[in-house]
Amino acid sequence: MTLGHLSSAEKALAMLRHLPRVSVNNLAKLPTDSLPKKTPLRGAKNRNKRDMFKIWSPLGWEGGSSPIFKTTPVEVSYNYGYHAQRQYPPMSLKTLQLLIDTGRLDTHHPIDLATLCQTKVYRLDPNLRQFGVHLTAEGMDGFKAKVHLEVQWASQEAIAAVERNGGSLVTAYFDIFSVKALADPIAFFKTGQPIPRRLTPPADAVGYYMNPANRGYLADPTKVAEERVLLAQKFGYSVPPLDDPVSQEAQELIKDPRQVFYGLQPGWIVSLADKRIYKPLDEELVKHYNS
Amino acid sequence: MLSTVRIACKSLTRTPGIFHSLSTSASRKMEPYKSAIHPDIYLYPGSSVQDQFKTIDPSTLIETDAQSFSGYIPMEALTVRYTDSQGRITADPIRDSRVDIRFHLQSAQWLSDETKANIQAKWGRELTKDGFLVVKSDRTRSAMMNTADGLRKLREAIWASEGQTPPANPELELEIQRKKQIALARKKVKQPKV
Repeated sequence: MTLGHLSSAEKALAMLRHLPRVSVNNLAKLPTDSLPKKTPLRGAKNRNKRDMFKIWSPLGWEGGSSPIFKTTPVEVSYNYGYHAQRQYPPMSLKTLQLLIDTGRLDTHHPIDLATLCQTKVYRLDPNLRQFGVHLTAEGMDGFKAKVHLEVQWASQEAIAAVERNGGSLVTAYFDIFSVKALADPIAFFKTGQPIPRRLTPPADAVGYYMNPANRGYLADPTKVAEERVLLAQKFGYSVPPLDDPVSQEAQELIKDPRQVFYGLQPGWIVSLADKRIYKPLDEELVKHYNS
Repeated sequence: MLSTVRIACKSLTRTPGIFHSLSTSASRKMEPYKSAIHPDIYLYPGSSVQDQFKTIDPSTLIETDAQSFSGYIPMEALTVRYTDSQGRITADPIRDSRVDIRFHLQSAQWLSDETKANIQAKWGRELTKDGFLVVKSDRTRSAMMNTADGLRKLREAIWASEGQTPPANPELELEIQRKKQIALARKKVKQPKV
C-alpha cells in the first residue's frame, strides 16, 4: 500500500493503526541512559575538597602512615583521647547575619541548633563527634540583627555583639543522642523513637556551662545579669532592656536541662504521619523522664 | 496505654521555625516543662531562670566608696565617633574601625570632684582647648575591639591619675611572651650555619 498520496497527518494516522500500543517495554531509551554510570567511589577516591574542613584529623597525622609521635616513646600520649574529643564546627556572626537577611532564619522566634541545621547552610554531622555550633565573632561589626540564640559555644565578642543589639544568648550542652535528634529533627521523628532525655554535661564541660560569663544554661541567673552589664561596660554599649514580646517569648521558652526541643518534652513520641504526639502514662517512664 | 494529644499541624514541612508553632498555638498554653534538675529547683532555688534577662541598675554593682573611680563609665556621657583610619566617616561599620571617645572633663557628673581634680592634675596638658578628654584607638581592624581598647585606655588613665596601677593581665603577658619566642625561633632558623 503506498502512502504517497496521503498528507502528513493522514500518514501519521495510518502508521498509528499498525504500530503496537505504547507500553513500558517499547519506550526508547532516554539520552541519559547512554552516559557512563557513576559507581560509588570508595576509599581515597571518595574524598572531595569540602571533606578537608569537615573531618578534623589529629595534629601530626601523616596520611595513614605511622605518625612520628607514635614511634617516639616520649610522645606516645600525644593526641591521647583524640577519638573521644568533642568538636564544635564554627559559624560566624557574618553567616548568621546573611541567613537572617536572606530570610532563611526568622528572628521572631528563638533560634537553636535545630533551626540552624534546618537552614541546610550550617551542617552538623554527629557521627564525626560534632556536638553543636560554636559562634565566632567574625563579622561582629556588621552584625545588626536582634536574635535570641541557643548555641553550644560562644566567644565573648560574639556574646557582646548579640547582646548589644537587644538580643540574648544562652550556651547549652546537648549529648550526642540529643544532637542527632536536633541535627535532623524530621528524620528523627520518622524513626519513631521517643525524644531523648538530655544528659548533663561531662566533667570537662560543667565548668564552662556553669560560668555566667559564658551565659551557661546552668549558671546563676543573677550573676548572668551582672555579667551582661560588665560585658557592656567592656565593649562600650548600654544594655538594652529585653521587654518586647519577641524577647518575652524567648525567655519563656528557655529550655530545661533535660529538654531537647522547644515545646516538646523528653519521652514524647512525635508522629508526623498521624500528626499526633504520644505521651507516656506509665509511672516509671514518667518518673524517669521528669528526673 | 498511651494517650494522644492533638498538635497544631499548621506546617510540618521544611520551614524555619516549624518547631515553634507548638508554642504559639492559641488553643493551648502548655505548662513549661521542669525536670528535677531545673536550675530553679536544683541549683538556685529561690531565683528564676528568667532573672538573667532582667535589667540591673549598674549603681548596685559599684562599691559605696564614692571618692575613687570605680571603673564604671555611663556610655551616654561619652561621645563616641567611628571613622576610617584617615579620619573620614564612611558610614560603613567594617571600614570605620577607628574610635574617638571624648567627654568634657569638668562637666562630667559621673566622676567625683576629687577624681576630676586628679585627672586635671595628671592629664591637664592632654586635654583639648575646650577641656575635652580624648581617647583614640585604631589598634585592630574591628570597631568593637577598638572601642574596648579605648575604654581600657580611659579607665587606666583615670586610675593612673589616682595612683593605682592597672590590673595585671597574665593571659596577655603570656601571649606576648609566646609571640616573642616564636619570632626569636624564626630568626634563629634564618641565620646561616657557621
